Amino acid sequence: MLDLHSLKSEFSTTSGIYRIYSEIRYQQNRKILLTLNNGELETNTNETTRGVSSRSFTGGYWGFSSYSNPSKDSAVSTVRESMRNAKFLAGRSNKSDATLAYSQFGKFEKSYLSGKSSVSTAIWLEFLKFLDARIVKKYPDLKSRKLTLHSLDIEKHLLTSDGQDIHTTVPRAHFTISMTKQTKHGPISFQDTRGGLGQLQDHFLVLPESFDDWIDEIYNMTIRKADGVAATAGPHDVILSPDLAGIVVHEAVGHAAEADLVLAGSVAESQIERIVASPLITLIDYAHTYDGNTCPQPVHVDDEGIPAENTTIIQKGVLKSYMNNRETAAYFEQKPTGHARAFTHADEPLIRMRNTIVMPGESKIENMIESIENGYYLMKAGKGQADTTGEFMFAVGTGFEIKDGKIGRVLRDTSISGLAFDVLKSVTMVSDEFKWDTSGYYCTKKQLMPVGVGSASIKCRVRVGGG
Amino acid sequence: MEHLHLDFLKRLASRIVSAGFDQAEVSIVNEHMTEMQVDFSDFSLLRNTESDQVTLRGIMGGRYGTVTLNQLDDVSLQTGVALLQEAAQAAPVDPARAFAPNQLVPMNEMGPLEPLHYQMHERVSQFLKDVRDAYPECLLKQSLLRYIRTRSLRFNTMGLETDSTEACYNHGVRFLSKRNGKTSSINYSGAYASNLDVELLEWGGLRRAIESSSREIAVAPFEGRLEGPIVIAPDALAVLLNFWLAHLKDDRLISGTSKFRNSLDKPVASPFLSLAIEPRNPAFARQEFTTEDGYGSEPSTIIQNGILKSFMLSDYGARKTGLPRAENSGRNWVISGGSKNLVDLFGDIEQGLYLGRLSGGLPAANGDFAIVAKNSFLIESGFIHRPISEVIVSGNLFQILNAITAVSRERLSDGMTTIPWVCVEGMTAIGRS
Repeated sequence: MLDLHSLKSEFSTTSGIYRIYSEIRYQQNRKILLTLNNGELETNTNETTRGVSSRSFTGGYWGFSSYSNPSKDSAVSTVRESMRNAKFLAGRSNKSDATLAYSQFGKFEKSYLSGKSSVSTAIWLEFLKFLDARIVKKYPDLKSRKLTLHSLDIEKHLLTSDGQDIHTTVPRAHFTISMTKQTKHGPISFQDTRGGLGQLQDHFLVLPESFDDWIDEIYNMTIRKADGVAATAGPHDVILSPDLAGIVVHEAVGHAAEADLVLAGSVAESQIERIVASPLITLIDYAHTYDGNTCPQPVHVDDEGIPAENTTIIQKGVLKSYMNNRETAAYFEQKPTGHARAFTHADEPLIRMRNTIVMPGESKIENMIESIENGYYLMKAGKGQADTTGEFMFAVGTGFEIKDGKIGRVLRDTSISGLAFDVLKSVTMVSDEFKWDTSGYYCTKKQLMPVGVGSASIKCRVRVGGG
Repeated sequence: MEHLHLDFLKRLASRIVSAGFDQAEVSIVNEHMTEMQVDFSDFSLLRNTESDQVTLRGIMGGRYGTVTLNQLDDVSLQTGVALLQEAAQAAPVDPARAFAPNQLVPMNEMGPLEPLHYQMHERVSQFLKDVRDAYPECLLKQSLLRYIRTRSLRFNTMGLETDSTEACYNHGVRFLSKRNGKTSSINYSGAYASNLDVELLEWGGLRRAIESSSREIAVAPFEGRLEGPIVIAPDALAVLLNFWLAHLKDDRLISGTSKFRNSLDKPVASPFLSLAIEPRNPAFARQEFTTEDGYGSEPSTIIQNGILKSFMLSDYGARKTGLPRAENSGRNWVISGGSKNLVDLFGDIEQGLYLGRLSGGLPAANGDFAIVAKNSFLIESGFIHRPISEVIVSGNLFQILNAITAVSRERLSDGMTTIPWVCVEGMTAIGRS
């Protein structure tokens, strides 16, 4: 590992001489991906990506440089090149009033590694094979099954020219089982994922038999879905489960409140202190701790050295705040609350959500179901998109009919779509139970980014299906 | 730069063999990227990255392992070889694992070998001015002009040695249009070029997309239901085709979930559709010299007049399934143009939909899909009539390609693919009511 402290003095001097705000970051991403497809090892990836990068700001322009072989020499080169790049742009035009919000934080160090010894690939593969064999023996009628173990540990060490010295390590690990059953409608699939903050050994180093109940659940849902019905297309009263609601709100509302996208004309532009949702909706992006517990993607200090604080985006239906980086915070004259994050050493920090939560309300889920005469209970977000106008569409992996206040037949794959603020304004009930999504969600915005997503169940009106 | 030499790879392969492997393969990809970024119609960032990716592969008693790292120091490489041993020892014996044999793959080099910063800045400045002057309602959310140079080396103990360098420029833009507080839907456009001779606005379909964006400000929700023909724009067709072509590739064919396992030389699409892969087409800025598994890339025909002519399997996928290996990695698509020009393609439609872009999820395993039509218009009496929003288009992936009734003579080339507009029956569009 490159020790940035050995460069601290030189870095401070260089940025001081040129009076240019600069960052230097060493980062290592370690990824493990093991996939067993119908009993065959399909993917066995053990990938470590590490490098050093620097970013500099002058005259309203950023320069950035990175190298994948971190050494003292390459680190010094990144600082020089990032300054040169910033000056190249600044020398050709000038945003004279552009400035940055500055921070006084100092030194911070935090690792979420548990210290449990890592386990060899061979053992994890045996683990997957054992579970796969149990699935085949118990459920020979399946057309195919896929088991995936995935982990990502991100270690970052950041120095900034205004004195921050931040060193963090955040791991996360997930396990997905997918099953496919052949039906008269073609192959029907169902999958589920478990995991969260921590490494593989923190979550899954238990007796394989302890996964039996989960496997049974996945199989039962696959079978029920195989006999499922298609949702009737059109606007419906629905309940969105926490995993689905959390991801839809993250994509369709959260991004619109990121200050860089606000500047680019998102639907949240000029909506501060305006009603954008039902008064039952409060949306908060938590930094690292919710209700006394660590969030799935804890951020204590961001990649610009800004201390991370919770950001209330919507409070009782009113848009309260955007999410900022140093640059947009200065522009909007708001306090930066630690949203700038980069995925790899070669990426520049962008405004990103951390752990976005639709806060729980007071309704009981049973009462919410009883309140719907003819609608759907929808779960599990699949692939989807939302744009800055707030129009969204998401695949829905499973769900149930609700008829006369009771859960009915299982649905085959369907989708939901609508305009985000319209859908949030239609919310009439929010459950008192809250869940984190456990699918290991990655958000995409120029770069990938692991994020935490959570929600209560919400009752709203949304367009279901399309056919 | 000692590592960018085949001798370095040979020494590393020897190290892998010394660790107990029967066969070894080493590849190194060195990439330089320079990116000039515009946010909100003004320059914001100049970024350069330099990276190496080393992939170690080995076969030991029929067991295959692979490890990827981006460090070239001795300790990292030693750790990489140890991880490779661990990976192979954990893998099952798989007779389908093998490396590409020794073959004549000439050293190739294409594209500019260094980025032209000043010219990049001039081109972007001119692009910003062109958009401001010609399309004042257009709001450029982001424009990324990138220079990308990739040098790829590969050596294996079968005697294979390849060394190629490919460089090109890529321009990607996200934008919308705004008038009196009302905005169009966001749209994207991207293209590749081997030099900066042409103004950025003329790359790929960018000018057409920005012009359309201005019309889309007047968008209104679509009401009702439409079962008429749908004209699919090249970018949207590419998205659908990507899902469809997945059924010709390793994952689906090996797992037995491909729709087309037994369809070689049989009809799988409308006779109007012909798709070829042309990895060395000189018209493309992004070409392919070798496949992802080390074979020299050659052209292939995937669909000829609706008949499936090739699968798109890797060497491993081919051995695993007993089907033929693809001649390339399948990225440089050329879809044949049809007999109708675009005006006539629209002109024949009394009432229909022009599908500019798709938004939404993946098709289900059985091919059923429902997506939001973005940047889309109603077609009435042969003309593109008015922009619409909140319209869901549904259909079945496998039926769509069979339902193509016409293909445009005009085609859009983005420097890596060439794709026409197609007219399709059998999809349903439903508005919000």
